[in-house]
Amino acid sequence: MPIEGAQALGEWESFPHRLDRRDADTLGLPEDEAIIYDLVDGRHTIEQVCARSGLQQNEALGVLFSLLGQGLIAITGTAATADTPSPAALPANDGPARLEVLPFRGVSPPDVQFLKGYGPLGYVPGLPTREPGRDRYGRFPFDNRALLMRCGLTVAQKKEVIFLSQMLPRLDHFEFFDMDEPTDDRRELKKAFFIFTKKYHPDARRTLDMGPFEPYVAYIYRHAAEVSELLQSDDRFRATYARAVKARNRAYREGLESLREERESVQRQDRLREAKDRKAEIQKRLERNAKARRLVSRGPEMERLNKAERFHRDGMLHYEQGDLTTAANLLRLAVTYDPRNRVYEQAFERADRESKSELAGRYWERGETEQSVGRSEEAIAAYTRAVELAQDPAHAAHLARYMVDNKKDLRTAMAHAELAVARAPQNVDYLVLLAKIQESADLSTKARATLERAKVLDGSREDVKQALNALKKK
Amino acid sequence: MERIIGIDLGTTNSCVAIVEGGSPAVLANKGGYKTTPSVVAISENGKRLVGHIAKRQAVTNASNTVYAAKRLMGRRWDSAAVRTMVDTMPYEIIEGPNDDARVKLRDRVYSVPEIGSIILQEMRLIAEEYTGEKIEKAVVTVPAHFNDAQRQATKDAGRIAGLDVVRIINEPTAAALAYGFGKDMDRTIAVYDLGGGTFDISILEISNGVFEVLATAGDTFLGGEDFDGRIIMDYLVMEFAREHQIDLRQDGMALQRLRDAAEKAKIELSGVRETEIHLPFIISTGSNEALHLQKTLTREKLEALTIDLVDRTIKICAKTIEEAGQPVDDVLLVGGMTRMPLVQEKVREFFGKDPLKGVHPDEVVATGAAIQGAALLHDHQSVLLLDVTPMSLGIMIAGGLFSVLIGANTTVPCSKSHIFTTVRDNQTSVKIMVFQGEHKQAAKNDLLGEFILTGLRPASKGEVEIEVTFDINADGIVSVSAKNLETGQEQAITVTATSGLTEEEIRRMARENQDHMVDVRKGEELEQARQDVQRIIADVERVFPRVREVLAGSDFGTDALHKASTVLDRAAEAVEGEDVTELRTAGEALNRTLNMFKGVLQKVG
Ligand SMILES: Nc1ncnc2c1ncn2[C@@H]1O[C@H](COP(=O)(O)OP(=O)(O)O)[C@@H](O)[C@H]1O
Ligand SMILES: [Mg+2]
Repeated sequence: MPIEGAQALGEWESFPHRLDRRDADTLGLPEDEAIIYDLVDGRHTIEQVCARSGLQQNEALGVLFSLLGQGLIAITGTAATADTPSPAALPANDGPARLEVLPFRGVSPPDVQFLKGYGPLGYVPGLPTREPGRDRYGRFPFDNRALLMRCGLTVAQKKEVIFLSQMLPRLDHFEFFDMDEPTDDRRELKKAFFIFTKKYHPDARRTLDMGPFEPYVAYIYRHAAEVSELLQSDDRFRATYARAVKARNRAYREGLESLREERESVQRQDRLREAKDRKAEIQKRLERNAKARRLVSRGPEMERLNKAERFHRDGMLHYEQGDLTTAANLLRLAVTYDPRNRVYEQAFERADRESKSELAGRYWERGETEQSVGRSEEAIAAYTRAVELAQDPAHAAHLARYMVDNKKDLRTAMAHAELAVARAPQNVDYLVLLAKIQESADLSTKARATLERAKVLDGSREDVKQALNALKKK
Repeated sequence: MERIIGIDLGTTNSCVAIVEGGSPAVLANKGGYKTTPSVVAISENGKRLVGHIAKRQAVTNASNTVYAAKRLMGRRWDSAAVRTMVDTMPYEIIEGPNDDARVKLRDRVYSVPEIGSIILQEMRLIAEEYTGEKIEKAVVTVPAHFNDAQRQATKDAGRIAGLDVVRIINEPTAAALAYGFGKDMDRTIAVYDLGGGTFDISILEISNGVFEVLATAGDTFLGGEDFDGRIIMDYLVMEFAREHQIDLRQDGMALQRLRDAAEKAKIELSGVRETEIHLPFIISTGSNEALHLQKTLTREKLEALTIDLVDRTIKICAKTIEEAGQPVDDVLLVGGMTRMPLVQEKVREFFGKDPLKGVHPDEVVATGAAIQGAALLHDHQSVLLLDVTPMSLGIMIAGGLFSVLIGANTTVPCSKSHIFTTVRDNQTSVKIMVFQGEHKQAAKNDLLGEFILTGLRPASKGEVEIEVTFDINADGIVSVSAKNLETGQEQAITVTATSGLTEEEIRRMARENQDHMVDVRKGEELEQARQDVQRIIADVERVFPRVREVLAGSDFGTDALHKASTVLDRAAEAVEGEDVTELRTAGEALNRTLNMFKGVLQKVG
């Protein structure tokens, strides 16, 4: 009941000063071209686009020409009836917001305590808004629609108004007034406020049509006046606030610095290592050159032998380290330069064999893997490489059997079986295998001969006898 | 072309200026003076008199002559200021219907803004005469310490005069503006303004064409009149009483003459060291014997009589400078009283520097007002004024205390919020009472307005929070809102100080003023026609005897002469009357007669 309340009129208590703040919004991109580009929709005329752009006509035309030149837009013909420009929305300037940026980074605790007594005006954002090497707006995303709204303000002015009104809770007072450095110099602060005043005081923009920006301009001016008032009138606040922002900036710069140092030290080490490697290589090259010069002086025959010797030495080195392929290659060169040297030849053959069998072993392993997962094509290819390289009879026989099982080309399978038999002539199993393949390939005569050979080797084997009898019956 | 003129509506003198072609000019009145006394009188035949004419007839018409009306502007009837005025002024001050003071002149009651409007009207006419254009807008100056009611009264005066007062600015600020205009400087200046009725000191900072008031203070009852008063009361009246055992104060006419003489002497002593005050027949005794007053006043004597007044101004300066917290680079003297050598000396002594030269102390305020007017018209921003709130604004809180939200000397526009809460359990409404002033006890300050915020949730005390926001725009309009932070429900008012006039009254007065102006114009026309006719009558009468001689013989002649005398009689009758058309016809007829007479005389040779 109002009456009841009215009896308690004026009975109030006073609480600490508090003000609402707003948060920033994330929006589009700021470029003039983007603005115009967004407006081109195939319906609006050039004139309308210029009019809606919020730019000066010749400014807008310039941008249009540039877009035309880039082939981003085209002139399509006479105007259709276009609708009136839709009023774009400015970000709301009355949202309830508390910022979640941690304040007072790097500021001494007593200063923090003192500044907290001033509510939002004593708040020092944890990070500076202006990053080194960027302009005042940094990465602030401007909303094109807002920049497009028609009024007496230039695009630059609109930007500043939007930026300040949106970012206000995140700016320290020096950033707000676009000052380069925090300062507790009253005069300097006053000067900054005066510059601001000339732009934003209601008397300075009396005849200016600010359209939808009006409340934003009023809002930031009032904020500026309040801040300036406090900075001017309260010496202790001014000194503390400047010190706090300086400390915050120092902390920020030091953070950046240590990051950079870390990055730089890594880079430095990389560079050092590179330099060392390069140096070593140059050293090597120089040595080689020196040797070559020495060789040349001893004549072509000496040179040839020396080369052979060097290749042999390097080849053996690699051989010992187990790099068989390289070893085989180097030793082959040694043999080429000095074909009469037996030591070289034997070394080469050994390395070549071993490298091949090593390689074959790897191929064989691969083949087994492929076989185990049932990829017969791949298994056969790998097995074939292994057999070609090492000519191992067991492998060749396995391959032949595998190919037959998988109904592959009988001729090739037969060749592998023949290889197995050739490499291990005493093996009855291989002969039986070969005979089977020969029989399947309708080579009965050959199959009989093969089986006869097996029988000679081992007359006790029942399977050989049975196979022979079966063949004879045919 | 749109123009905004600048008017210094002074306690003693008023002045008008305009900016023309980028430079300010102070305009002279019909008498050639650049300042016009802020005096309004109603003559015996009911005519309004303003300025010099009004001042000159004050001696014989003291009770119908209003001066220093500015001191009554926006004051309440029961205020100390009005009380003092009632006791000391020769004109009648009565209680108005809205707790305001009004002036009674020849059976008609005038509100104070009306008196102000008559002066503003005069200033406007000066500007209109000069430019040949109709002037509708003005920037008007007021003392820095004027409260909202006083400022509002000044605005109302403008409205009654048909002038849109686009901005009220402080006199010292205007002075600084005039001084700093067109100069590229970066200084802190003190403006010391000692006028006829008030003293003001302001500290301003000028930088890049922005003018900011750092601090301002003053005394509404300290000015030239007090100096005059000392000469009258502590010297002339005392001496006269000692000699004749007669108290001159008992006689209104004598007092008025003393006043004029004292001021004249004071002004003279700014140039010379000694002056004579000679008032013959100042008073007659019961025995029909006339007494004269004859006194010599030296500068030393004057200084001895008034040094405490000057010291008072210096004390206020000291306090204000401390408040501004900044060293002063220059001192600017404003107001007629600063021509007094003692004042200049004390100021020099206190500030430790010579006051600025080359500024006309009587005109500088109007000049500044005109500059501000021009700046408001065009956004070229060569000058920008950052004005401050003259007094603290706040609301009444528990215990009748005054909680200040916007302190005195805060730059406008501005807004401030503060959270308040209920003080009793289950309190469902709060009353916001807005006050202006510096007293801790809210009730001792001026109440500007009040409203009630209802619908609060019944809760224990201190739980419901209410945010009160004060907002002052660039034109000094104060709005106050209260918001229930729980519900978002809001209640707001625009606070307009009352000048003592209701909206209806202002409209009526504006209309009456307009009618009056039409009457005046008609009267002027009539007067003009009358004078024209009188001139021709004189011409005709001058040649009549000779024409009679020539024409007397013939019938035709007698007839013509007869006709001529009829025309003359008719004209004489018209001169007595109030009809302009009648006068014009009579004039034309007379002209024909005169031409005929001239023809006759020519033929004769
Ligand atoms: N030369 C002078 N010497 C001393 N006092 C003067 C002189 N000229 C004017 N005055 C006084 O100055 C006062 C008027 O000053 P002014 O600035 O016009 O007043 P206001 O601003 O109150 O209208 C009067 O009291 C007048 O006597
Ligand atoms: Mg004055």
